Amino acid sequence: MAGSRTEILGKIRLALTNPRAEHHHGHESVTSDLKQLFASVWSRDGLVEKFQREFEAVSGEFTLCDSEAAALAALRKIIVSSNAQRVAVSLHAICSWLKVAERLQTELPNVQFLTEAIDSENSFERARLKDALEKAPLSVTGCEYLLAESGTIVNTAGSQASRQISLLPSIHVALATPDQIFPNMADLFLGLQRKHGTNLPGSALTFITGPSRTADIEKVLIKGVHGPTRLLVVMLSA
Amino acid sequence: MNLTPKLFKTYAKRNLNNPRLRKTYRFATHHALANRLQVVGEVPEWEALRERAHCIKEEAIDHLDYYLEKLEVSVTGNGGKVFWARDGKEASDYILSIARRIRARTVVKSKSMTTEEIGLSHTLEENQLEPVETDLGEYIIQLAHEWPSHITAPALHKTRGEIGELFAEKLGIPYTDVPEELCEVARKILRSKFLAAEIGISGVNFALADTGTIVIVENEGNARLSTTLPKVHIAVMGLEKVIPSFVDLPVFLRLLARSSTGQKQTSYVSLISSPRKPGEVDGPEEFHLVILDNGRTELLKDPKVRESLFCIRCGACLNTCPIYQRVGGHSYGSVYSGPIGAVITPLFQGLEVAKDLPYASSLCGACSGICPVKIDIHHMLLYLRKQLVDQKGTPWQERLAMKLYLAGMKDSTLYRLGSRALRIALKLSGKQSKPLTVPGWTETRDFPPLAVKSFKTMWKELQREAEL
Repeated sequence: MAGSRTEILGKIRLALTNPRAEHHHGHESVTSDLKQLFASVWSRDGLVEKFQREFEAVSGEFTLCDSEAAALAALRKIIVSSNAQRVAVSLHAICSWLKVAERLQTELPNVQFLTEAIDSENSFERARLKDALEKAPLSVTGCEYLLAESGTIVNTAGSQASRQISLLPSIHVALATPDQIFPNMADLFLGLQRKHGTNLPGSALTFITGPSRTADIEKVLIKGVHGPTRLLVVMLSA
Repeated sequence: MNLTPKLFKTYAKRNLNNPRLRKTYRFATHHALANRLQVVGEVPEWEALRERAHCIKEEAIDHLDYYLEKLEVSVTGNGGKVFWARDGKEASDYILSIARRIRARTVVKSKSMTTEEIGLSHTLEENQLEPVETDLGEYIIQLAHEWPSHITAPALHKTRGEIGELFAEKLGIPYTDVPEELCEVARKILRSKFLAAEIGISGVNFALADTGTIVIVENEGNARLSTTLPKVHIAVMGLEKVIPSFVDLPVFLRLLARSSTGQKQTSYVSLISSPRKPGEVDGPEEFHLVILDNGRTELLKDPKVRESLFCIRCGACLNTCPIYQRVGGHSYGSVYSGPIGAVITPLFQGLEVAKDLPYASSLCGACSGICPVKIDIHHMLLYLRKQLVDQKGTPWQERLAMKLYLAGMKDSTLYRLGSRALRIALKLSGKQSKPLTVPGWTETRDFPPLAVKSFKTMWKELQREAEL
C-alpha cells in the first residue's frame, strides 16, 4: 500500500512534467466570480414562491402555514389521510419547538409516535432504531436549508436527525421556515464556507430534490424506488 | 457476455441489423436530449459554467499530486481511511481484506462505473460474498449477466417485456411488464439486502480536496442506503475525480444533472465527509476511500489526451452521438461507451486492442459541443487515429488515391481532364447513374454517383441559353 501510494504519486509527478503547468489561476480567486456564474438565480426576491414552484415541479407537495396551529393541523391532515399508524419524528429543533410528537399524540391517540432519542453510542439501540424507522411509513423532520433554484431541501446528519429518517419511511415530511431558503447552491456554499471553513457540519450533508425516482425501465418515470414515494414540505411563515 | 473492444465491427454490425434495439436506443437518447435542451435553455450562464468547470478540472489535473495528497490529509483528518490502488486487483484485494476482517457476507453496491471497470462484483462473487447491485438498472443487468449499455442508464437497451421475462425467470414472480410493478418487486428484495448487508460500496462523482468530502449524485436513494445502513462504507474513485474545493461543487452540480438526465438536480446529492460521528444515531462505523489508478497515470503523460480525465460521466456525449445512437453501448466492448469511451478505452486498454474505436465517429463534433466540461472529444479521436496511422501506415491504394486527389485538386487542367476521363469510363461501362463502388470503402459508406454533367459544363450551357 505504501508502495502503491509512492508509485502512483511518482507516476503523476513524472507525467505532469510534460509539460508542468503553472498554478495559473490561484485557486482562491475562483470563488470571486461564483456570483456571476449564478447571476440569473441570485435574487432574493420571492424566494418562497420560487421554492414552491420548483418543489412542486419535482412532485413535492407544499403547504404554507401562517401559525403553529396551522402547521400542526397540516401535519395531522397528512398523517390521517395517509393512514400512517407509525410516525417517526426527528429531534430537529423545529420539531421540539413545535412539540410535534407530544401534541399530535394527544390528537391522534391511535398513532404510534417514535423519536430518535436513543443512546447514540449503544450499537444495540442504534440497530433497534433502524428497525423501527424501517417499519414507520411516515417521518417528520426539520431541514437545515432550502434552495429555491431547484426546489431542494438540505439535511445535515447530526444529533438532531439521522441520515436514514428521511430515507427509510415512504412518506417524508419536512418542516421549514422561509429564512432557511437560499436562492441557489453557490450562495449556500459560500455561506457554509464563511461559517464552517473547511470543517463541514455533521458526517453528511444530503440534498433532496423531490421523491426517490427512476427511469431505468424504458424511461418511464417511477417515484419511490428505494427512498420515499412522497416528499412534503410544511412551511411555517410566522 | 464477454467484453472486448476488439470486436467493435462485429458487435456494431449485429446491432445495426436489430430494428428493435435501434428503436430502443433512438427513443432513449432522443428522450434524454429533449429533456436536456429544455433545462439547459433556462440557464443563461451555461457557457460560462462550462468554461469554469473546464478550468477547475484543468487546475485539478495539472496539480493532481497536490490535490490528491490534500484529499488524503482531509479524509484521514475526518476519520476515514485512504487506500491507494495501482490497479483493479489491488483495489479488490483491499476490499476483500476488509470483508474477511468483519466476516461480511452481503455487499450492497450503488452504481459505479469505476467498480464496473475493475469487475469488482465478479471478484467478490468468486470469494463467496454476495454482491448486490442496487441501482434498478444495474440490478436488471446483474440478473441478466450483462454489461451496462450506457454510463448513466445501464439497462437502456432492455424493453419492459424483456425485463418482465427476466424477473419471472430469475426471481420466480408471475410475469408482468408493468414498470411500476417490476420496480416494486425490486424495491422489496433490495430493501432486505440493504438491511442485511455489512458493507456498502459506492462510487464517487466528486472528491473535494479541502474538506475531504466525497459527493454522490443519484436519483433512486440506493446510494444513500448503501452509504448509510451497512457498518462499513467503501467508496471507490478514479484518481481523476478530485476537485480542489468545496465551493467548486455548485458549478458542477448546476451542469451535471441537466446534461445527464435533463433534471435541474437529481433527487439526491450526498456529501459524505466522515464515518458516524459521536452523537449521531446512524451512519457507518468505518469509511474507506480507495483511490484507483488503473491506467490513468499512463494517460496523464500525454498532454494531447489529458483532458479526457476531465470527464464527469454525464453521458450527454453518448446521447448526442449519431454513432452511439445507432450501434448502441455494447458495441464499444467496454464499460465506457460512446465518444468518451472511444477515447478512454484505447488509452486504458491499449490502442492495438481498441483500434476501431477512434473510427467509431463521424467527427461531427456533437460530443465536444455538448460536453459540460468542454472536453475536445472529437479532436482526441482524430489524434488517436493519427497515432494508429503513424504506427501501421496506410495501404498503398489509399496513399495512391490521396496523391492523385491532391494532384487533381492543385491543378485545374488535371482536374478537368481527370473528371472527364472518369465520366467517359463510367458511360462506357453503363454505370453512369449508379453509386460508385470502391472495394473496401463503399461496403460501409455511400459514394454518390457522379453528376452526368460537371458544374462547369452546366454553367457554360446556362450562359449560352441566357445569350440566346
